[in-house]
Amino acid sequence: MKTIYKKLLLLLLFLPFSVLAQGTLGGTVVDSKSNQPIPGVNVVIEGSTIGTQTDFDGKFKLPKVNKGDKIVFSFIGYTNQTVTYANQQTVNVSMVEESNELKEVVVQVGYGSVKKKDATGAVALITTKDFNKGAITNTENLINGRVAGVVVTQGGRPGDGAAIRIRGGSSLNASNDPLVVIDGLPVDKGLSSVNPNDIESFSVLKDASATAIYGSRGSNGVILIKTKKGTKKDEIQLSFNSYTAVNSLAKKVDNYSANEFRDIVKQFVPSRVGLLGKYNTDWQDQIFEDGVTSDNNLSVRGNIMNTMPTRLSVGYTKIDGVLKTSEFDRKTVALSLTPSFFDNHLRVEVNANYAYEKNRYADEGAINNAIAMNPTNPVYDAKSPFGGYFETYTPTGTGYTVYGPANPLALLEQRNNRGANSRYYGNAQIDYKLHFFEDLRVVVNAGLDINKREGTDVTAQNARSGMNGLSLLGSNSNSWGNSENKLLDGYLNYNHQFGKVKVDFTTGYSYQDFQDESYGSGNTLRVDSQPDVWTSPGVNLQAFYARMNIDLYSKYLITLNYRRDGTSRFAEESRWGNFPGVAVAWKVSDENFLKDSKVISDLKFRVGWGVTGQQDIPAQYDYFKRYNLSGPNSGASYPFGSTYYLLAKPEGYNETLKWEETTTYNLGFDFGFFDNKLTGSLDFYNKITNDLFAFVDEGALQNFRTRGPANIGQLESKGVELGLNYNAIQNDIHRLNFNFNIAYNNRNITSLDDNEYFTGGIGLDLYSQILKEGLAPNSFWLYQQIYDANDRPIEGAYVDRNKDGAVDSADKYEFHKPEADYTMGFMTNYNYKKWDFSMAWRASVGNYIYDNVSGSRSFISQGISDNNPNAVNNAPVDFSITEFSQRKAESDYYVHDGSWLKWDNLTIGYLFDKPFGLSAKKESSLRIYTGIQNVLIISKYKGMDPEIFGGNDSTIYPRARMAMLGLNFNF
Amino acid sequence: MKNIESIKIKFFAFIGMIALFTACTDDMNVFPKDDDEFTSEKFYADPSSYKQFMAKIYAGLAVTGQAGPAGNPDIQNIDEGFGQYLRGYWQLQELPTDEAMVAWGDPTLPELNTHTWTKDNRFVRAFYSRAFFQVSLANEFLRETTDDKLASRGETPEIKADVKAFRAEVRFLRALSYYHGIDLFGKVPFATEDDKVGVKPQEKDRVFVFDFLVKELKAIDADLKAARTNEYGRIDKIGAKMLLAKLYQNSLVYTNVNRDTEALAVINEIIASPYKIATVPYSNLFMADNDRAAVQNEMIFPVLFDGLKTKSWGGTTYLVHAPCGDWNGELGIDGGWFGLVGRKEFAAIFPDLTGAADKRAIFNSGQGAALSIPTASDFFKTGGLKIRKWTNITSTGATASNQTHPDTDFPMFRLADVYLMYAELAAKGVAGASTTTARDYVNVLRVRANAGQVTTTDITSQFVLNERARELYWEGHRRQDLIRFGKYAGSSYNWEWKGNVQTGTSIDDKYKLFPVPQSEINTNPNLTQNPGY
Repeated sequence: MKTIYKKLLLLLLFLPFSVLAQGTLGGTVVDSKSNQPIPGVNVVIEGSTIGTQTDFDGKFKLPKVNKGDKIVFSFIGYTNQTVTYANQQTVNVSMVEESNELKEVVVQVGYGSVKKKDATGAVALITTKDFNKGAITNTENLINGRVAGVVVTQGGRPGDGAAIRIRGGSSLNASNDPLVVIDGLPVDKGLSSVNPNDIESFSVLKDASATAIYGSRGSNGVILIKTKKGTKKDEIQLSFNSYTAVNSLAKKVDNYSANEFRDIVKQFVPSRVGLLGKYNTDWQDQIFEDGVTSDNNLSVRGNIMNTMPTRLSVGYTKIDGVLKTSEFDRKTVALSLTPSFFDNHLRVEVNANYAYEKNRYADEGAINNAIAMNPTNPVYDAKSPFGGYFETYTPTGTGYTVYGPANPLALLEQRNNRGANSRYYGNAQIDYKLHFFEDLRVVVNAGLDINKREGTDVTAQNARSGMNGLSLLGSNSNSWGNSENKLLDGYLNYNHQFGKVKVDFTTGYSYQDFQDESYGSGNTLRVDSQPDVWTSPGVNLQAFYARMNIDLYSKYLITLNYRRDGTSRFAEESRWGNFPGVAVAWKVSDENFLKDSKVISDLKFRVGWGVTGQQDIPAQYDYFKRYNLSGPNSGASYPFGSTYYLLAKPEGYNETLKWEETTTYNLGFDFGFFDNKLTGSLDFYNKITNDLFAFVDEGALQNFRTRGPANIGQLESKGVELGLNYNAIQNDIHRLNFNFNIAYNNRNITSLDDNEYFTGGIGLDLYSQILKEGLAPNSFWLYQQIYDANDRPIEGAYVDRNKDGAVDSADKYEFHKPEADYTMGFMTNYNYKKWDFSMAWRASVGNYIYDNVSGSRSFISQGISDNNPNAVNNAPVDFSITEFSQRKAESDYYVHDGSWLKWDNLTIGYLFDKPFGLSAKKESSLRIYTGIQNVLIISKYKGMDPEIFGGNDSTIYPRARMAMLGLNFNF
Repeated sequence: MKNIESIKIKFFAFIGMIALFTACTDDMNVFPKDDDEFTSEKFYADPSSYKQFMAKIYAGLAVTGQAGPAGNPDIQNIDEGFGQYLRGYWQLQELPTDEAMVAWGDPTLPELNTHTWTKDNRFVRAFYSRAFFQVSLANEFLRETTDDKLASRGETPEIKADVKAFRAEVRFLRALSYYHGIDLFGKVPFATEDDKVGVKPQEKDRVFVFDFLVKELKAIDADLKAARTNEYGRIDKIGAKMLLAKLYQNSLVYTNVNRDTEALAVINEIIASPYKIATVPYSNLFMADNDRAAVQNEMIFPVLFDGLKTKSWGGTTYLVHAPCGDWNGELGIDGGWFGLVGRKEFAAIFPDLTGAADKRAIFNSGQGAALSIPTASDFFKTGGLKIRKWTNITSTGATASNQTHPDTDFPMFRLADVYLMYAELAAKGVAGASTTTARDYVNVLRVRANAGQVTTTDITSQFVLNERARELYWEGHRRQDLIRFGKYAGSSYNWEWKGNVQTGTSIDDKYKLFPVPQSEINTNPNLTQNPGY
């Protein structure tokens, strides 16, 4: 502190001397609320370079003041105060802290930020007050359903990440994940280790005029996350947030009860009635249980030595999943330092985060086996050699031949699969406004994201799942992985007002490098275990970028973006891509003809165009020929004589791979009516992706593989998004707010160079979906089922659609698609005095689901009647409708309307002011709340949960219903 | 001033850093860092790479990728086990015949039982992809081992000499896959080392490829090792002659030109070679230790498997497990797959099913199920001949190294076949082939099988066809044999479920060829479909 102070004094030395006769003004500056002195307040004579700062006691002395001079007092986080000098000796100023409501709303746009009202692109801002309430353990879930056109599919597994799609995604086989940037650091390892309590805001960039600044990484939208920071306030604020929730299974897969199953076997597999036992076991009841989630977070905010706004947060989350033996445990520490020096010329931001996650992964094969396991068998068998768990087996020699599915409870309890992940991520940013040229800022940002994980996976010696051939063996393996993501960014920002024209220009360079390494031991109990270290070649991304914002008459806004991007994924010739973006906005409401409108309080019209790219394909360097050598214990070697030789294989390659390019047109309106009681945005867009990455079939003799990446075809997305916020009532007693958004999105493959590719694998080389010209991506592509008079599907009878007399693959057709036409989100918050009430809903319309839970089990041969004559298997009750004797997976019968309406959350809380007799001087509050997560699902779909990512329902880790009780304590 | 200076310095340092970053663009030239992955330069810097590459092509007949039994497949988009070379070949040569039928309902698999396959059949496609994947690898090997390339890498004369032999062997392996291609599909996509990677190949008909193969097999003779002087598992001059003999003998089918005389000459050369009929019990040829010296005598070209080091879900893993039911303990494996059976017409070729009259009848006589197959699917327990010729126990009754993946090798070519090829020519009355010699050859095999001796008058075409079934059943010959003897299409010989009728019915001539997979035609407009599909 002292040295900084000295430096400040030194700086003052450079202030030029004045020759005029002048007076000197002194005084003290205090905080209006606390009456505490504020050090470091800038005291400047307006229009001159003469100024000073308050000292540690809030005192200042300003020489050379002339009568009539306007003296401006400014300090970050406080409203400026102006005093006119009238030869007074002293002046005492009381500074008023800027309230949050009055602060200009700022959105992140990448390498800088703009005021929301000046944003030219389709940008959505979601801050803490807009976040989803309730039992949120995952950062992505804070915005689930809150932004039009952003679809978040959260898994049910404890600690599971979420899949995020903005406007449906621009690619087929390349990544459709948006770029996620935390405090300036693009991350690729997901958000599951990020504590949602540390998040301040999300800025979602949806159109290319905005994302072009991220060039090759902006095609699927960009989510810029800002974490919470310390305050300028002198006092220390503590916040403790905690909740506990009981997780329970919302719905089971509807399969046959033991008695129903007995009837099924008697009727359809009479030869195997001997395999029916006398027990009545509901295997799903055996593997699912109620779990508990607890989430605790303590944060401290303050301003160390009045110069170092600091926030420190620690979090602890523990989840016991609804599937037995699944656990998640996360400890997080987040530290943020945001000091500024030299009269705010030098601003430093340091964000350091640490997360330590422990997982116990349940063997999710147990869910499948619980659906299929014969329910007339017992759970335990005292005579069983498999640790007392019932299994179907016959002794063979010194070992056992086993039949049918393995005992699902044994799969869970006899396996201990644990992983621990340490993640360090953060960045340090220096933002320096040049002293000799204040219009220019230099920003350097260095970031790091390091993941280290370790795992052990032990299966009991007497577990059936650990058998080696006929004998008991067990399994013991371990693994580790390290990944590192390094970032270095630097940019210059020039900002100047030329009369009525304001120019803001940014240009910079970005370097990012990703490295990955992992190890798996294989089963160390086996003589032929295959330990192997895998090292990724890494991915290196570099870019040069520039952006110009021009503001004419504060009414017309122009943004020009440009980025030149390079990636290590392509050959030198095709490595670099150029990505421009242009946007124009017109603040119509600032025009004279609307200025006094009582109805329209805000209206902005936006038009944007931009080109973005995509380089994120699984292949890391497919452009040159490589050789792969099989590992020494890989089980893939070949003997000549008595010597075994490792196998060397040339890898397939494609020298001509290049960028996928997406061109986006966006037309939007931001509006506010009735004094901004009703605000919202309406956007229309059209996205066209050319040179799509696709994994295409490579036929005989064309390459050293049968499938590989290539740039083919074109994908078009069109859509409309509407987001509305209505503050219906705003007074001291009632506050009622509604938030609603709806998005329509339609993706269509406009060209695929006459190729078609099957997707959506449903086992045994069968596919339910297709990529084909003229269709939505991954449309279901199946045979058209023929039904009998009773509306039952006739087994194997399909419509000969092309009427050539034969039913073959040429008769398959498009039958709906997995993607929704419409997605909606709704939230309402109601406050009555100290009470608060909130609920959130989401809906999805027009999404279809292939029921692979039934399609892969509900038939006789190799389904209910196991391939092995010593086993019979349970199945979903769909069999009672079809009574199929064989698997008819390629029938459109299994495609169902999966539209859904979900009531995600209900929360009710009560706020106590100044609880526990805490000092009245300081702000303090305690809120106690209770609620339910995953309240209700309304859908025609009969499966466990219609919210299926990708359209094939092949059983998922169920999303729990949670009843919670929590508190927020601020003091 | 100091401060401003230092700030200025910092500013210029920053500008300097930006300049430095531009030098970082070289970081985008990434190279393999994994110890299993190499650039071409690094790979060939190690002289043992040539043999590892050749091992890959040999192993292409046995394993399905860079990890066994599965995990890093060569062929994408096909279940890895289905994509195994021998499994695919075996299914296409055996399932549409009286020798075999599969009880599983995997989509499109039952079509192979009943001659109802279409251009979308997944198993046809699996083998097509695999066979030509072999050709691709072979072409690449030949591109990378030219004299120029070896010279540019400064290889030693010893390496050059080794590589010369390797090249001949790789050309043999390429010829083998092309031979399988024309046998099953007629016309094939065709490319050699002179064609570039990434180009869609032209289609060539059977006659063109036949002539190419004959030329190739003759050309490599000089560079191949003399009979039985190569390492076991690698091909020698006799192996190439065996393939030539196969081409000549099927020449009428492939090219409409009879080349029996040429066949006879090559067959005589093979019989005169150091290869001998193994004097071990017949059953030992198909056991886990069928690589012991006594059996090696007969193995002209074996595909090798090992329970620990050479594993896949096809090959002998498939051949031991798939026909096995509850008797897995007796075959030395961890479980049966309840799939493959023989049909009753095949059973009828044997004098009895117990093996008493012919030890080659290695069947599960105690199974109790009927020989007739009542339904076209799910019949394993109710019908069909249970065959247990392939096992994973050794000739001494010991267990093998692994109960899931047998150690048992697969004879792609063995000498007994050549004896019967001679007998076939003799039965047809080809000049120079005597029925007396043929009788002696056949009796050598029948002595080993403890079957009754035959006389010269027994050497008829029908007898040879039946004898081939008795000696070579389930070794991947039957479909080719039936076609060559005119007993496959039409109705001169019907078997249960032929033509998708339980009693068996005539099938169209088009079924003598499999369709070119539609998915292949989609990727390559140069390819055309076989007639009738």
